Amino acid sequence: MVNDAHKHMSESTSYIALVLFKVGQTLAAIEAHHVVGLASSATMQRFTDAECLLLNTQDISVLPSNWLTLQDAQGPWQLGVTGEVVLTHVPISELFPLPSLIAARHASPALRGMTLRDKTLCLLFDGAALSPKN
Amino acid sequence: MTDYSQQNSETQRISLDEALAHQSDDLSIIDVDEPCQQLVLFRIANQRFALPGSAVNEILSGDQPVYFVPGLPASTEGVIHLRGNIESVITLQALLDLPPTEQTGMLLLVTAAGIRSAIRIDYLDDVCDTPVSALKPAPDTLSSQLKPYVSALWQPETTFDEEVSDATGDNTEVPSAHNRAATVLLNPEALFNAYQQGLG
Repeated sequence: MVNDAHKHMSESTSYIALVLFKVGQTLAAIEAHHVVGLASSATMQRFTDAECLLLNTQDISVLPSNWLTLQDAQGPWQLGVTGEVVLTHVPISELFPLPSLIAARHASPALRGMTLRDKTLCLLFDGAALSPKN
Repeated sequence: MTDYSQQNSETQRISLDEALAHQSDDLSIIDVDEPCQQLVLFRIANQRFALPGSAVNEILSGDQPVYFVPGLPASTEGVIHLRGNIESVITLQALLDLPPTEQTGMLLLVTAAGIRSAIRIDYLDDVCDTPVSALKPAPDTLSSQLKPYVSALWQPETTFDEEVSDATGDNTEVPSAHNRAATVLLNPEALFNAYQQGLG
Protein backbone atom coordinates (compact mmCIF):
# COMPACT_ATOMS: atom_id res chain seq x y z
CA MET A 1 0.00 0.00 0.00
CA VAL A 2 1.34 3.40 -0.97
CA ASN A 3 1.42 5.89 1.89
CA ASP A 4 1.27 9.57 1.01
CA ALA A 5 0.08 10.52 4.49
CA HIS A 6 3.19 12.61 5.14
CA LYS A 7 1.97 15.20 2.65
CA HIS A 8 -0.85 16.56 4.79
CA MET A 9 -0.08 16.01 8.43
CA SER A 10 0.45 19.56 9.65
CA GLU A 11 -3.08 19.90 11.07
CA SER A 12 -4.21 16.39 11.95
CA THR A 13 -7.69 17.47 13.08
CA SER A 14 -8.48 18.97 9.67
CA TYR A 15 -7.81 15.80 7.74
CA ILE A 16 -9.35 12.38 7.52
CA ALA A 17 -7.34 9.24 6.76
CA LEU A 18 -8.75 7.35 3.81
CA VAL A 19 -7.77 4.19 1.98
CA LEU A 20 -8.27 4.83 -1.74
CA PHE A 21 -8.85 2.07 -4.26
CA LYS A 22 -10.73 1.43 -7.47
CA VAL A 23 -14.05 -0.33 -7.94
CA GLY A 24 -13.96 -1.26 -11.61
CA GLN A 25 -13.19 2.12 -13.18
CA THR A 26 -14.52 4.15 -10.25
CA LEU A 27 -12.34 5.68 -7.53
CA ALA A 28 -13.59 4.86 -4.03
CA ALA A 29 -12.42 5.18 -0.45
CA ILE A 30 -13.04 3.84 3.04
CA GLU A 31 -11.93 5.42 6.29
CA ALA A 32 -8.51 3.99 7.09
CA HIS A 33 -9.38 2.77 10.59
CA HIS A 34 -11.86 0.29 9.10
CA VAL A 35 -9.12 -1.37 7.04
CA VAL A 36 -7.16 -3.82 9.18
CA GLY A 37 -5.16 -5.58 6.50
CA LEU A 38 -4.17 -5.86 2.85
CA ALA A 39 -3.42 -8.98 0.80
CA SER A 40 -2.85 -9.82 -2.85
CA SER A 41 -5.28 -12.73 -2.78
CA ALA A 42 -8.43 -13.82 -1.00
CA THR A 43 -7.38 -15.99 1.89
CA MET A 44 -10.41 -15.79 4.17
CA GLN A 45 -13.66 -17.75 4.07
CA ARG A 46 -15.70 -14.58 3.85
CA PHE A 47 -14.92 -12.32 0.90
CA THR A 48 -16.65 -10.41 -1.84
CA ASP A 49 -15.86 -8.19 -4.81
CA ALA A 50 -16.21 -4.44 -4.31
CA GLU A 51 -17.91 -3.92 -7.66
CA CYS A 52 -20.77 -6.25 -6.73
CA LEU A 53 -21.04 -5.06 -3.15
CA LEU A 54 -20.63 -1.29 -3.57
CA LEU A 55 -22.17 -0.73 -6.99
CA ASN A 56 -24.59 -3.65 -7.03
CA THR A 57 -23.39 -4.87 -10.43
CA GLN A 58 -24.08 -8.42 -11.58
CA ASP A 59 -20.76 -8.90 -13.32
CA ILE A 60 -17.35 -7.57 -12.44
CA SER A 61 -15.57 -5.61 -15.17
CA VAL A 62 -12.09 -5.88 -13.65
CA LEU A 63 -10.77 -8.73 -11.52
CA PRO A 64 -9.65 -7.71 -8.02
CA SER A 65 -5.94 -7.11 -7.69
CA ASN A 66 -5.91 -6.40 -3.97
CA TRP A 67 -7.95 -7.59 -1.00
CA LEU A 68 -8.69 -5.26 1.92
CA THR A 69 -9.45 -6.85 5.27
CA LEU A 70 -12.43 -5.30 7.03
CA GLN A 71 -14.31 -6.27 10.20
CA ASP A 72 -18.00 -6.76 10.83
CA ALA A 73 -19.97 -8.38 13.66
CA GLN A 74 -19.03 -11.86 12.41
CA GLY A 75 -15.32 -11.09 12.25
CA PRO A 76 -12.83 -10.25 9.51
CA TRP A 77 -13.65 -10.51 5.83
CA GLN A 78 -12.00 -9.45 2.57
CA LEU A 79 -13.10 -6.90 -0.02
CA GLY A 80 -11.65 -7.35 -3.51
CA VAL A 81 -10.62 -4.06 -5.10
CA THR A 82 -8.78 -3.02 -8.25
CA GLY A 83 -5.95 -0.58 -8.88
CA GLU A 84 -3.40 0.74 -6.48
CA VAL A 85 -4.38 0.91 -2.80
CA VAL A 86 -3.33 4.26 -1.33
CA LEU A 87 -3.47 5.60 2.22
CA THR A 88 -4.03 9.33 2.09
CA HIS A 89 -5.21 12.20 4.25
CA VAL A 90 -7.93 14.36 2.74
CA PRO A 91 -8.81 17.79 4.16
CA ILE A 92 -12.27 17.73 5.73
CA SER A 93 -13.13 20.80 3.68
CA GLU A 94 -12.78 18.67 0.54
CA LEU A 95 -15.37 16.12 1.64
CA PHE A 96 -18.88 16.58 0.29
CA PRO A 97 -21.99 15.14 1.90
CA LEU A 98 -24.14 13.07 -0.38
CA PRO A 99 -26.86 15.03 -2.25
CA SER A 100 -30.29 13.88 -1.00
CA LEU A 101 -31.42 12.36 -4.29
CA ILE A 102 -28.17 10.42 -4.67
CA ALA A 103 -28.50 9.08 -1.12
CA ALA A 104 -32.07 8.02 -1.82
CA ARG A 105 -31.35 6.21 -5.07
CA HIS A 106 -27.85 4.76 -4.82
CA ALA A 107 -27.53 1.00 -4.84
CA SER A 108 -25.35 0.95 -1.74
CA PRO A 109 -26.66 2.26 1.59
CA ALA A 110 -23.01 2.43 2.68
CA LEU A 111 -22.29 5.36 0.32
CA ARG A 112 -21.80 8.38 2.58
CA GLY A 113 -20.15 11.14 0.58
CA MET A 114 -17.82 12.19 -2.19
CA THR A 115 -14.57 13.98 -2.75
CA LEU A 116 -12.62 15.07 -5.80
CA ARG A 117 -9.09 13.81 -6.38
CA ASP A 118 -7.34 15.48 -9.30
CA LYS A 119 -10.68 16.18 -10.99
CA THR A 120 -11.75 12.57 -10.49
CA LEU A 121 -14.80 11.79 -8.38
CA CYS A 122 -14.13 9.53 -5.41
CA LEU A 123 -17.01 7.79 -3.65
CA LEU A 124 -16.71 7.56 0.14
CA PHE A 125 -18.12 4.41 1.72
CA ASP A 126 -18.72 3.66 5.40
CA GLY A 127 -16.60 0.62 6.21
CA ALA A 128 -18.72 -0.13 9.28
CA ALA A 129 -21.84 -0.45 7.11
CA LEU A 130 -20.29 -3.05 4.80
CA SER A 131 -20.63 -6.81 5.03
CA PRO A 132 -20.14 -9.51 2.42
CA LYS A 133 -23.35 -10.79 0.90
CA ASN A 134 -24.22 -14.34 1.88
CA MET B 1 -76.16 87.96 2.09
CA THR B 2 -77.36 84.47 1.47
CA ASP B 3 -77.72 82.00 4.32
CA TYR B 4 -76.47 78.59 3.16
CA SER B 5 -76.91 76.94 6.53
CA GLN B 6 -80.28 75.49 5.62
CA GLN B 7 -79.40 74.45 2.05
CA ASN B 8 -78.25 70.94 2.76
CA SER B 9 -78.96 69.35 6.06
CA GLU B 10 -76.85 66.27 5.04
CA THR B 11 -73.70 68.38 4.77
CA GLN B 12 -74.09 69.78 8.22
CA ARG B 13 -73.96 66.32 9.80
CA ILE B 14 -70.39 65.61 8.60
CA SER B 15 -67.69 66.84 10.94
CA LEU B 16 -64.43 68.25 9.73
CA ASP B 17 -62.51 65.14 10.86
CA GLU B 18 -64.91 62.91 9.00
CA ALA B 19 -64.66 65.05 5.91
CA LEU B 20 -60.88 64.97 6.01
CA ALA B 21 -60.88 61.24 6.58
CA HIS B 22 -63.18 60.82 3.64
CA GLN B 23 -60.89 62.87 1.48
CA SER B 24 -57.92 60.90 2.74
CA ASP B 25 -59.61 57.64 1.73
CA ASP B 26 -60.27 59.06 -1.68
CA LEU B 27 -56.59 59.81 -2.11
CA SER B 28 -55.45 56.30 -1.12
CA ILE B 29 -53.75 54.31 -3.87
CA ILE B 30 -55.65 51.25 -4.98
CA ASP B 31 -53.45 48.42 -6.19
CA VAL B 32 -55.12 47.01 -9.25
CA ASP B 33 -52.22 44.75 -10.25
CA GLU B 34 -53.15 41.10 -10.49
CA PRO B 35 -51.17 38.73 -8.33
CA CYS B 36 -48.51 37.13 -10.50
CA GLN B 37 -46.32 34.08 -10.31
CA GLN B 38 -42.88 33.94 -11.83
CA LEU B 39 -42.44 30.96 -14.12
CA VAL B 40 -39.35 29.43 -15.70
CA LEU B 41 -40.51 28.13 -19.09
CA PHE B 42 -38.61 25.33 -20.77
CA ARG B 43 -38.94 22.35 -23.06
CA ILE B 44 -38.12 18.69 -22.67
CA ALA B 45 -38.69 16.31 -25.59
CA ASN B 46 -40.53 19.11 -27.45
CA GLN B 47 -43.09 19.49 -24.68
CA ARG B 48 -43.52 22.77 -22.85
CA PHE B 49 -43.10 22.84 -19.10
CA ALA B 50 -42.67 25.43 -16.39
CA LEU B 51 -41.41 25.49 -12.84
CA PRO B 52 -42.21 28.17 -10.27
CA GLY B 53 -39.48 30.79 -10.31
CA SER B 54 -39.38 30.61 -6.51
CA ALA B 55 -38.09 27.02 -6.76
CA VAL B 56 -35.40 27.70 -9.37
CA ASN B 57 -32.25 28.97 -7.68
CA GLU B 58 -30.07 29.18 -10.73
CA ILE B 59 -29.97 28.52 -14.45
CA LEU B 60 -26.71 26.88 -15.49
CA SER B 61 -25.08 26.12 -18.80
CA GLY B 62 -25.76 22.57 -19.90
CA ASP B 63 -22.13 21.82 -20.66
CA GLN B 64 -21.05 21.71 -17.01
CA PRO B 65 -18.80 18.70 -16.45
CA VAL B 66 -20.96 15.97 -14.92
CA TYR B 67 -19.22 13.30 -12.84
CA PHE B 68 -20.81 9.92 -13.47
CA VAL B 69 -21.78 8.02 -10.32
CA PRO B 70 -22.20 4.28 -10.89
CA GLY B 71 -24.91 2.46 -8.97
CA LEU B 72 -27.67 4.95 -9.81
CA PRO B 73 -30.68 4.73 -12.16
CA ALA B 74 -30.29 6.15 -15.67
CA SER B 75 -32.40 9.16 -14.67
CA THR B 76 -29.50 10.34 -12.51
CA GLU B 77 -26.75 11.65 -14.74
CA GLY B 78 -24.35 12.16 -11.87
CA VAL B 79 -23.11 15.16 -9.94
CA ILE B 80 -21.66 18.57 -10.71
CA HIS B 81 -19.13 20.52 -8.64
CA LEU B 82 -20.69 23.94 -8.22
CA ARG B 83 -18.75 26.54 -6.25
CA GLY B 84 -17.61 24.19 -3.52
CA ASN B 85 -20.75 22.06 -3.40
CA ILE B 86 -21.74 18.82 -5.04
CA GLU B 87 -25.18 18.83 -6.65
CA SER B 88 -27.02 15.92 -8.22
CA VAL B 89 -28.11 16.12 -11.86
CA ILE B 90 -31.31 14.35 -12.82
CA THR B 91 -33.44 14.06 -15.93
CA LEU B 92 -37.25 14.00 -15.88
CA GLN B 93 -37.86 11.90 -18.99
CA ALA B 94 -38.39 8.62 -17.14
CA LEU B 95 -40.58 10.17 -14.45
CA LEU B 96 -42.77 12.05 -16.94
CA ASP B 97 -42.82 9.23 -19.50
CA LEU B 98 -41.08 11.32 -22.17
CA PRO B 99 -38.77 10.00 -24.89
CA PRO B 100 -35.04 10.40 -24.24
CA THR B 101 -33.31 13.38 -25.83
CA GLU B 102 -29.72 14.02 -26.78
CA GLN B 103 -29.76 17.76 -26.02
CA THR B 104 -27.10 19.18 -23.74
CA GLY B 105 -29.57 21.99 -23.11
CA MET B 106 -29.32 23.70 -19.77
CA LEU B 107 -29.49 22.87 -16.08
CA LEU B 108 -32.01 24.31 -13.64
CA LEU B 109 -30.85 24.21 -10.03
CA VAL B 110 -34.08 23.56 -8.17
CA THR B 111 -34.87 23.49 -4.45
CA ALA B 112 -38.09 21.88 -3.25
CA ALA B 113 -39.20 19.65 -0.38
CA GLY B 114 -35.90 20.36 1.35
CA ILE B 115 -34.01 18.84 -1.59
CA ARG B 116 -31.75 20.60 -4.06
CA SER B 117 -30.84 19.14 -7.43
CA ALA B 118 -30.07 20.21 -10.94
CA ILE B 119 -32.61 19.19 -13.58
CA ARG B 120 -31.54 18.93 -17.20
CA ILE B 121 -33.83 20.61 -19.74
CA ASP B 122 -33.58 20.72 -23.55
CA TYR B 123 -34.32 24.43 -24.08
CA LEU B 124 -34.91 27.39 -21.83
CA ASP B 125 -37.73 29.43 -23.36
CA ASP B 126 -38.32 32.30 -20.96
CA VAL B 127 -38.60 33.53 -17.41
CA CYS B 128 -41.81 35.52 -17.04
CA ASP B 129 -44.42 36.77 -14.60
CA THR B 130 -47.81 35.23 -15.25
CA PRO B 131 -51.11 36.32 -13.67
CA VAL B 132 -52.21 33.65 -11.21
CA SER B 133 -55.69 33.85 -12.74
CA ALA B 134 -54.22 32.60 -16.04
CA LEU B 135 -53.16 29.33 -14.45
CA LYS B 136 -55.84 26.69 -14.87
CA PRO B 137 -56.28 23.42 -12.99
CA ALA B 138 -54.79 20.35 -14.63
CA PRO B 139 -57.46 18.73 -16.84
CA ASP B 140 -58.57 15.14 -16.38
CA THR B 141 -57.31 14.37 -19.88
CA LEU B 142 -53.67 14.61 -18.76
CA SER B 143 -51.83 11.31 -18.84
CA SER B 144 -51.83 9.43 -15.56
CA GLN B 145 -48.02 9.41 -15.68
CA LEU B 146 -47.86 13.21 -15.84
CA LYS B 147 -50.81 14.20 -13.67
CA PRO B 148 -49.29 13.64 -10.20
CA TYR B 149 -46.57 16.19 -10.99
CA VAL B 150 -48.72 18.94 -12.54
CA SER B 151 -49.96 21.83 -10.43
CA ALA B 152 -51.53 23.89 -13.24
CA LEU B 153 -51.81 24.44 -16.95
CA TRP B 154 -51.04 27.74 -18.62
CA GLN B 155 -52.38 28.59 -22.07
CA PRO B 156 -50.61 31.75 -23.25
CA GLU B 157 -53.09 34.30 -24.65
CA THR B 158 -50.48 35.86 -26.91
CA THR B 159 -47.45 34.18 -28.30
CA PHE B 160 -44.08 35.63 -29.06
CA ASP B 161 -44.96 35.63 -32.77
CA GLU B 162 -48.17 37.54 -32.11
CA GLU B 163 -46.38 40.14 -30.01
CA VAL B 164 -43.85 40.70 -32.79
CA SER B 165 -46.67 40.85 -35.32
CA ASP B 166 -48.55 43.45 -33.24
CA ALA B 167 -45.45 45.53 -32.77
CA THR B 168 -44.63 45.62 -36.47
CA GLY B 169 -48.21 46.01 -37.63
CA ASP B 170 -47.78 42.96 -39.78
CA ASN B 171 -50.91 40.89 -39.34
CA THR B 172 -50.10 38.29 -41.93
CA GLU B 173 -48.31 35.91 -39.55
CA VAL B 174 -50.63 33.44 -37.90
CA PRO B 175 -49.30 31.73 -34.78
CA SER B 176 -48.97 28.03 -35.23
CA ALA B 177 -50.69 25.47 -33.04
CA HIS B 178 -47.25 24.59 -31.68
CA ASN B 179 -46.71 28.15 -30.46
CA ARG B 180 -50.07 28.12 -28.76
CA ALA B 181 -49.37 24.83 -27.00
CA ALA B 182 -50.25 24.83 -23.33
CA THR B 183 -47.46 24.91 -20.82
CA VAL B 184 -47.54 22.40 -17.99
CA LEU B 185 -46.62 23.90 -14.63
CA LEU B 186 -44.77 21.20 -12.73
CA ASN B 187 -44.86 20.78 -8.98
CA PRO B 188 -41.20 20.53 -7.91
CA GLU B 189 -42.05 19.05 -4.50
CA ALA B 190 -44.01 16.24 -6.13
CA LEU B 191 -41.18 15.60 -8.60
CA PHE B 192 -38.49 15.34 -5.94
CA ASN B 193 -40.64 13.32 -3.55
CA ALA B 194 -41.47 10.83 -6.29
CA TYR B 195 -37.85 10.61 -7.37
CA GLN B 196 -36.75 10.05 -3.79
CA GLN B 197 -39.29 7.26 -3.45
CA GLY B 198 -37.71 5.42 -6.36
CA LEU B 199 -39.90 6.52 -9.25
CA GLY B 200 -38.31 7.61 -12.52
